[in-house]
Parts: sequence; C-alpha cells; structure tokens
Amino acid sequence: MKLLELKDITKSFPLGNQTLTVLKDISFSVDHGQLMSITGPSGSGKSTLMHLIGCLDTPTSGTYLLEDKNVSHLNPDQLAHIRNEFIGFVFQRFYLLPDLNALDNVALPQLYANKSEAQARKAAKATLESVGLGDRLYHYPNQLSGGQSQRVAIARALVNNPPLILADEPTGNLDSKTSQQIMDIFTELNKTKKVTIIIVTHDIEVAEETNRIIKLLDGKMIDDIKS
Amino acid sequence: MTTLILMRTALRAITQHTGRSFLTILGIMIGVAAIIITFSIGRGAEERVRNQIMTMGEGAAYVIPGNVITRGAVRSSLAKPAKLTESDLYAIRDQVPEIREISRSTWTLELLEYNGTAAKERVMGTDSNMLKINQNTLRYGDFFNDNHLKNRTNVVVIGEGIADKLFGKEYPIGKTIRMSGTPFTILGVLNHQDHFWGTEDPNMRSFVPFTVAKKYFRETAPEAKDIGALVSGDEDLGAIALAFYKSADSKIGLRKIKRILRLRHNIEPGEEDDFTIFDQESISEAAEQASGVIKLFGLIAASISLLVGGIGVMNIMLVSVQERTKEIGIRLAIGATQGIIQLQFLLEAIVLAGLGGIIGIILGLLGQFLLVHFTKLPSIVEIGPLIASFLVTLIIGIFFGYYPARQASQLNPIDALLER
Repeated sequence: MKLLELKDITKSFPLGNQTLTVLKDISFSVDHGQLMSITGPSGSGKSTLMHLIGCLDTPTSGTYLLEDKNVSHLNPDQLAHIRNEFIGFVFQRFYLLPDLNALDNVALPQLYANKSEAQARKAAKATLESVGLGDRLYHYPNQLSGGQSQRVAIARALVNNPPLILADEPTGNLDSKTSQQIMDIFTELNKTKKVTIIIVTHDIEVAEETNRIIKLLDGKMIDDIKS
Repeated sequence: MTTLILMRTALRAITQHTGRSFLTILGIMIGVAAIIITFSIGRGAEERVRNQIMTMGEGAAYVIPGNVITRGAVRSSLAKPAKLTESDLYAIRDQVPEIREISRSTWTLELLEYNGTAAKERVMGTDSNMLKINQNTLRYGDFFNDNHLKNRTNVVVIGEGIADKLFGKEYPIGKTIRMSGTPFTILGVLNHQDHFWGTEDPNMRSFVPFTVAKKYFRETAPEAKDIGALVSGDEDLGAIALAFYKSADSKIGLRKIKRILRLRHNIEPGEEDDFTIFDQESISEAAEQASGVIKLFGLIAASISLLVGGIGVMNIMLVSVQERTKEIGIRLAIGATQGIIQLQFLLEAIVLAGLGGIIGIILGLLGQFLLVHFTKLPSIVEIGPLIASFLVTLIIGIFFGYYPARQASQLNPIDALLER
C-alpha cells in the first residue's frame, strides 16, 4: 500500500474572467517511510501542491488517494480528521499560537483528537522532550528563538504520531546552523520512526539531503530523482 | 475537546482585549442593571402598597365625594356640587347588611403644638368605632367613645409619629396640646403603621371626635371649600369609612353602596359617579398596574440596551474573527473541525455576554442599594430577575454570536492560513 498517490492532479484558480492553472496533471506516489523533497522556483506551484497533499485544499480535478482512500472530495470535517491523524505540518513561519505556551501549542492536536487534557499534556511534554525542548515547556512563542519555535512546531506536527510530515520551507527563516539542526531532526525521525517526510523547498542544499527530489516548473512535474 | 478548555480559550481571548471587551459589553451591563433596578423597585413598590392597603384594614372601604378619576368633568357640572352627607351614610348603613362598621369621617390640616414644638399635620374627625374599621391598635391610652362625641369633648388620639415629634420620650397621655389654638387632651397613642413612600404618613395623623372636628375645623376641610350650602342638620362628610363582615361578599356590598348613592344623588344612567369608592381590591389592582408600568418601562429600556449590547457583541466578534483568521487557519490545519471552531467563537460570544450579565447584575444590585439609600424608595431584590437576566445575556451571546462563529467555521483552511 502506498502512503499516498496523486493521479492527474490539476489545480486552477479563477483570476478575473480567466483561469489560472497552478498545477497541471501531477501524478506520483509516495511509499511509507520516504524522506523526499519537492522543489522548484517560486511560482512553480510547489506550495499549492503541498496544500493539496496536506488536505488543506482540494484539487480542481484528479484523484488523491491517501492510504488507498480517495480524499479528493471529502467534506471539510472529514479532511479535518485526516489532517489531525495522518498529517503533521511544519511551516516556514512556524504558525504557533502566540497566546499558548509551547506545551499547550503542542497539546492542541491531541485535544482536537478528543484526548483528555491530561493525556494531551503528557504526550506534548514527551514530544517536546524528544526534540530537545524539555526545558522550554512553559515558554511562549515570543520567548523562543527561531530554531526553538520550529522545534515546537515539529513537536506539534509529531504529537499525534502521523505517518506523514509536510514541511513547507521549514528552514526558510533560520540561519544555516539551526537549519542543519532542523534537517537533522527530520533525518533522525525518518530513520528511527519511519515517518514519511515531504519537504517543500527552493533550497537545493536542503533538497539534496533527501532521498528523492520532485522538481516542479510552471505547475508541471519536470523531474523525479530517486537516489 | 471539552467545553471547559474552549471556555478558557474564550476567557483568554476576552482578557487579551480588556478595554475593548468592556466597551462591548457596556450595553448588556446597562440593560441588565436596568432590569435589576426596575424590578426590585417595582417589587418594592408592590409590597409597600400591599402593606399600606393592609393598613386600610381588611375589608375596609372609603367613600369620598367627587369623582377623582374624572374630576374635571364633575367639577364642570356646577349644578351638582359633589358632596356626601350624614343622611347618605345612614341610608348606606340601613340598606347594606354586609357592612360591619361605618363611621363618619372628615379631615383637615391643623397646626399641632406642644411646648413650643409644632407640626402641621392631618387631623381626622371620626366616630368612636374607627379602629374597628382601619384595624389599627393603641400603644397607650384609649380611643374616644360615644360620650366624647355626644359632649363634643376636646380629646385627641395621636399617631406614633406625632407622639415622637411633639413629646419625644415624654409620656403623652393626659397632656394637653393645642390644635390651631384650641386645647385638646391626649387620650391615646396609636401603634406604628407601614406606609408607601411618597404618600402621606399615617403615623402623623391624629383622630378627634367627628363632632369636635366639625365644630372647630369645618372651614379648613380641603373638600369643604367646594361643597355648597349645608342641608340643615345634615352634616357634610369628608368621607364615609366602613368595613364589611369578613364572611360577606364585599363586591356585592360595594355595588349596593354605589347604587344607593347614585339614586340619592339623582345621577342619570350614563352619567359619571359624583363620588369615589376606595376599597382594598381596587387600590391593589391600581397599584399592581402602576408597578407593572414601572416594570414595563424598565423592560423596554433594558431591551433596547440589550439589543444594542448584542449588536455590539456581534460586531466585536466579527472583528475578532477577522483579526484571528490566521489563528483559525492554524487550528484548522492541525485538525480542528468546523464544529469546534464554531463552538470556540460561539462560547467566546456567550462568555463575553455572560460577563456583561454578571457585571450588570452587580451594578444593578449596587445601583438599587444606592437608590434605596438616598431616596428611601422601597426595593425588594428577588433571585428570579437575577437568574432570568443572566440567562437572557447567555441567549444574547448565542443569538448574536452565532453568525460570527459560523463565519469563522466556514473559512477554507488554506485561505485562512494565508489570510487571503
């Protein structure tokens, strides 16, 4: 069973009375346990593709199978459950909730999975410790450095043990040293926990740390390099 | 995700903008405070009136000349000046078997003096059975008897308030006071009676024999100025005071009195009465109507305030949803369902409105306390309006929070996240 399978995915947006096609006939599949990247220049459609894979958006046409289940046309709440259980997101700008401390930020996906507060806090604490932030549990996002924030975000993505992590330019806001730390966490996660990690990046150095690189240009898939 | 966690989220969001939240719920606070104040004052008024009606005496009724309800119309008919006479009283006494006691009654304002202290207060001239009608009791001494009436003896029974004012701690029985210059011997002092704020204090009244009142005070009787020449030997009455038997149907009695007086006063069918009957039931009905009006106005004012407050809540929630689009996007991205987002914002509106309700209740209680303290208005706080107005604020929160919460929940995750 493939983790995910995209068949002829097209995404277009209305632009005035014209239609802007951002993704055109994208087809590929991803096995469990892969560490891969999607790359391309800005405007190539890689972020839109990540949003579709992440069930944050729905394709205009084509089929998207997630563990053999067609998720192309699920309703908003079904998609919410999939995002909660199957997918963890890591964003360039971290997207932590500023009113919550690190622990509560990480606990949130657990709460949305209907876990009790105690369970959620316990899982959040363990996950934060696993990314080396056991001493920052009660810090608020504005008290954390960029690298620490991104590690909180990774903990939040991991806390529900999803089979898939989607990272959108996860190192885009970080210096090279912290970027390397983040990449090391991803590599380690992939190796030890067999979590599939898809990194969207325009940074070719980041892409080259992964085992497979999908290249996009003008909404089309132009390359699929497996090493 | 439990409601409790969402409540904490709501409180956090509200306290983050304390000033803005406070201004938002100001309308609700004022509305609720208005409800609390008007309802406690209204209830207080009702209770006071009820007490005062009880001081009329159970089953008591008073007939006065003139139609106080359509006074202008009666005044204009100069041909028939309104008056009640002793023969009216005797006719009523003889033809209405429901009546237990009946007394002639007249009243004037007199200057009461004792040892340099003076008070201008109401003096009632009645028969010796007056206490059996108004069911007041004596604290000290006696009421005057028929001999006092017959002999026109200058004796007076004073109210508790008068006793306090003129005598202080001194024992008043047997002392002599002057009423408009004429000396009167104090025969008795009445017990305290409750009275309604703004009305005449019954404890400042004095009672003298009817015959004595007529002898000395006739000219100053307020109603007497309008009354025409006396029928010889038939004294004009300021009022007829009467009490029905407890077992009797007072409604039938009152109807009979009305019929007798209309007949005796030659009032044509369709013409207004030239007298007015006050009985417990009609007064309590009027009082309840009056307190109903107070409450109604309070409710109208409060409703407007609550409506404005509710719109304020909706407005601020729409702003909040707008401002927190990214937050909504993040929450949706990590797995919040539409229902959870809607519940989160709905609860925020409910908590906001409910806080307005709680503060409004506190303000209302404080307000009615101050009002009572400074104006001596009667006031009764009941738990019912407190709970009801709090529930109303919750309903306002639900009603006006629904639309913004729905807006929030309908956001497309990626659009919300990218704020586009």
